[in-house]
Parts: sequence; structure tokens; C-alpha cells
Amino acid sequence: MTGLTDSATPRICAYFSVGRNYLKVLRAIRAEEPNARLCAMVPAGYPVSEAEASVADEIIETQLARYSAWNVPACLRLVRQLRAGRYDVFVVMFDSTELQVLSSLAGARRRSYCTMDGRLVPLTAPIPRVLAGAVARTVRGRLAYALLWLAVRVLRVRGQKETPKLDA
Amino acid sequence: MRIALVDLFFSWPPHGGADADLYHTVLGLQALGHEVHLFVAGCVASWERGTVDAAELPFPATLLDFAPREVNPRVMPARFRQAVDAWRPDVVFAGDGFFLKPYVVQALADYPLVSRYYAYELTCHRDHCMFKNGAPCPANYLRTPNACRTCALEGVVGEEVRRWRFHSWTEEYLAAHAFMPGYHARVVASLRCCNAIVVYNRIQKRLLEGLHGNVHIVPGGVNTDAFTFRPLPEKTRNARKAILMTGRVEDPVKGLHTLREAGERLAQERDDFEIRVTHTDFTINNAWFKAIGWHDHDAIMGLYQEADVCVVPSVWEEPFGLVAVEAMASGRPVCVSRVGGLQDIVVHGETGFIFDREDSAGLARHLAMLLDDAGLRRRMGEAGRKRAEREYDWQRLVAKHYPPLLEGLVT
Repeated sequence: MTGLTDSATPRICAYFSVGRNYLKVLRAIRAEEPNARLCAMVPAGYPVSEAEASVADEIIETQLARYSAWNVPACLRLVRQLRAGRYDVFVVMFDSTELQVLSSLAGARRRSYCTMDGRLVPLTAPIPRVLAGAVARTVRGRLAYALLWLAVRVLRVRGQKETPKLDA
Repeated sequence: MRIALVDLFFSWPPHGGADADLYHTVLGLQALGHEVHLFVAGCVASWERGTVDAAELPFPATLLDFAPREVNPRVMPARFRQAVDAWRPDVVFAGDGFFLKPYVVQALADYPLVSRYYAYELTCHRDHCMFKNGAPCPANYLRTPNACRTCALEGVVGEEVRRWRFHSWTEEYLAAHAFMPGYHARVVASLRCCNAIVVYNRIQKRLLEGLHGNVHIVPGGVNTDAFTFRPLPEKTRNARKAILMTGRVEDPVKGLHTLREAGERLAQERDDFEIRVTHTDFTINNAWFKAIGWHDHDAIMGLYQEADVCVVPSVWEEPFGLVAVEAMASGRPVCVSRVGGLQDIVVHGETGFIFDREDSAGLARHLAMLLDDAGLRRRMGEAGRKRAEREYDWQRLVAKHYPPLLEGLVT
């Protein structure tokens, strides 16, 4: 990837989620777009580390420390806050269904997620496709689980006395 | 001697203790005059597998790239065998791997073979922890395969399959068909084709009793040059002292709840301490408890230097307990729970304290003693450093354990 956007000084938002790779996300973005205005969007009260502060140009706090998809009014306020930022690129830490939907609603022209090893991967699917993918995955997963359950319950390892004892 | 080391997960900088263990083992063997070559599996779709620049390593290494569909029992063992054959080693050392490792081990069975096990990956299909419902699990896949197969589906494997999103544990579980009954015979056969097995502690060795007659206990080590000793900072009696817990603290088996309970007990009587944990959820913070986020390998060294006391309150049978040794090497007193390899690392009353699993009252008592007595902290820290240098320095450790083991294989 040669850059996240065509703009000379794009506004990029890196949205924090609970996880180990936030600094890696910030550094990956900075490496891709050295001239960008990088906004670290962190939860209210988040203790920004020196390293994070040195990479980001701006630290913005969300209104709540934690969001739940069931708290619709709070989520709508978050979306409004994101859209008001008028970001060119919106980067999230994972490619979960929730974060993909949020990134779609953020109003940025481009969006990406950062893998654990620091690669920025574009997110392109529209919300209906994201939701359809989540449903398809769940259906596929449930079917696979049912088959596994059958295999484990019906096909047994023979010739073993199953007498658990605490070896430890 | 030409030693080929194969690893299905090696990454550098390390993702965990197994990576650090293999890295320093390779360096140690190289320092002993052996010709070494590391063969690592990499997969672009998995950050857990082979995130490493082979050219940057201080020893020869080859990264074998696998497409996601090639991470299977047919392609992976064949590619490893082909690469190892081309290098013509005298001995093969099999490092980290989950459910595909038995296939790779069997593919390399023509060579004198040493296999290292880092946790309970052989005996626990649930999550390699042998810890369930808040207690050590009495089952063992090698002896109770059907119970363990059922248990795997109740744990992280079942959860990830239902969501159809996998980490490498589940990915290998499915790829290796570990749910099928025939997998058990393969694991036992792969163990028997090893000339020697290396584990961390007595508990792991006991689990293999009757299945392999040549099991060696080799503890992990620490780089005593990197984890440098710096004396404890002088602090007044009422100054805040830092109690540090590092590692994967968000994992319930690491026992953060025990430290938190001990902190609550201490907070009722004093306010001269702060507990710092490498947790990424800062919403759990309060006046004396501070989540400081995840720190990489290099940053961890600085955290130890700033700490006054370190705590490792694990509740599972921790195979080794690298963080306890790192704290000792940094000259800090360590309080550890009486589990697994941890109880062998700390000398109670000399380099720190050992408390019973989940005994928050006992931990609080020991912490209070250490917080009250700067001299005790300093003496224990110094004793810990000496013990780390004597028993756990990587170069010494490899030089002590591996030459007799390797010579036994080729004679």
C-alpha cells in the first residue's frame, strides 16, 4: 500500500478498542501517511501513554468510556461525534462486525483496520454486506459445530480407560 | 553438530514465552559451537504465525510461507521435511506448535529428534491450560481423550467455531482433525518417535509418565544482560510504592482477581502503594489500581525498574513463569502463587514469598511486609538477581542442560 488517501494532508482518525495494538495502529498509520493529521480517538478517561501522544497530533475523547450496541442513543451520539470530525480516513483496531458498521457510519471516505502485526487492510464492504456476512458466518459456524459435536459424541477413542485423576 | 530447529509459531519480537525460549535456546546452542538453523512457519493471514524478518535474526533462519489453505497436515509437514532435508542436520529440535505439531514431528522422525513442550498443549484440548471451572483439571487428553474431546467443544474451540472466527488454536484444531478419534493415536505415536522430550517442570513430566522414558526438565531462562539490575529507588516510608503485575493479565488463569482482592485488603489499612498491571481495560482503575496498557518486550524492562515489588498470582499450573524470573533479574522481590513452575523459581523468604493459590489474605500479608521494609525489599531483590544469574541465565542454562541431552541422541 502506498498511502491511505490521495490528499496531501489527510485527517485520519484512529479509533481505540480494548486491545494490545493501539500504539501499533498509530505507528502504522504514521508510517503510511507521515504528513497526515492523526487524531487518536480514545474513550473518556483513557490514560494516553507518552508513546501514543508522541505519534498522534491530537487526542480526542469519546463521551463514554465504553459503548454497547444496545445503548442506541449513546451510539448515535458517538456517530455524530465521528461525523463532525470530517475525517478522510477512519481506522479501527479490529475487523469485527460492530467496528465495520461503526466505520461505515463515521462518514470517512476510506476506512481500514489494522492487523495485529501492523498491516493496514482496507474495509470496503457496505453495511448490508457486513451484516449478511456476519449472519452467514454464524450459520456456517453453527452447522460446523453441530458436525463436530456429532463426531465427538458418536466416534469414540477406543481402548482407553477414562478415569481422570489429578496428575498434577 | 548441525541442529535444525522447527517452529510452527515463532515470532520476533516475541509474542510470548515460547518465542523467547526458542530464540535464546538457538543463541545458546550457537554459542556452544553448534551449527544451527531455524525453520519457521509463516502465514500472511495469521499474525500469530511467523511474524518475523528472518534476515534480522542473529542466527540463520528460513521462513516457510504457507497460504491459509496450506496450513494442513498434508502440506505443512511435507514443506518442513523438504526444507530440513535440504539442510541435512544431525539433530532436529521441534519447538512450538499446537495440533499440527504431531504431524510435523512424525514427518521428521527419521532424524534424531527432540521435542519441546511449552504448556499443556499435549494434554489439554480446551486451551492448553488444564484449568477448568476455577480449578486444575484432572483430565489429560493422553489418558482421557474422550472427556477432553468433549471439553474442547465446551471451551474456546466451540465458541470460535460457532462464531466462525478463529485464532490459531482453533484453526489448527480443525485443520488437524483433532476432534476425530484417530488423532489420539497420532499424538501418542508422535511422542514415541521423539528421542527426547523437553518440558518445563515436574508436573508436565508426570503427565507423560508411561508414554515416554526420556523426558528432561529444562526450565526457561532470562537474558540477564537485557534485564539489568538496578537497585531499588530510595523511598520514604509513606511514599507510594509500585506493585507490578506484567504479562497477559487479562487472562483469568493469571489470577489478577487475587491481586485485586489483596489490594482491597491493603487499601483498608494504607495508601502508600499503587498496583500497576499491564491490562488494556483502564475502566477497572481506581485510586490504588492502575491498568497501564500492554507493553512490548523492550518496554517491560523499564516497568520492572520502576517497580518496588512484583507479583505473579497465577491460578493455573503455570509451566514456567517467565515474568517472575524477569523480575528477579531486574532485582525486584517477587510474590508468586504456589503453582506449577513458579514455586521452583522463587525461594520463599529469600528472593520473595510464595502464597497459596487464590489466597489474597496471604498475598496481602506478604505485600504489607515488603511495603513496610525497604531493607527487606532490597535484600530480596539482590538475592533474586543472584539466583537469576546463577540458575536462569540463558547461556548457562543451555550450556548446562543441552550438551548431555544432544550427545545422548547421536551416540
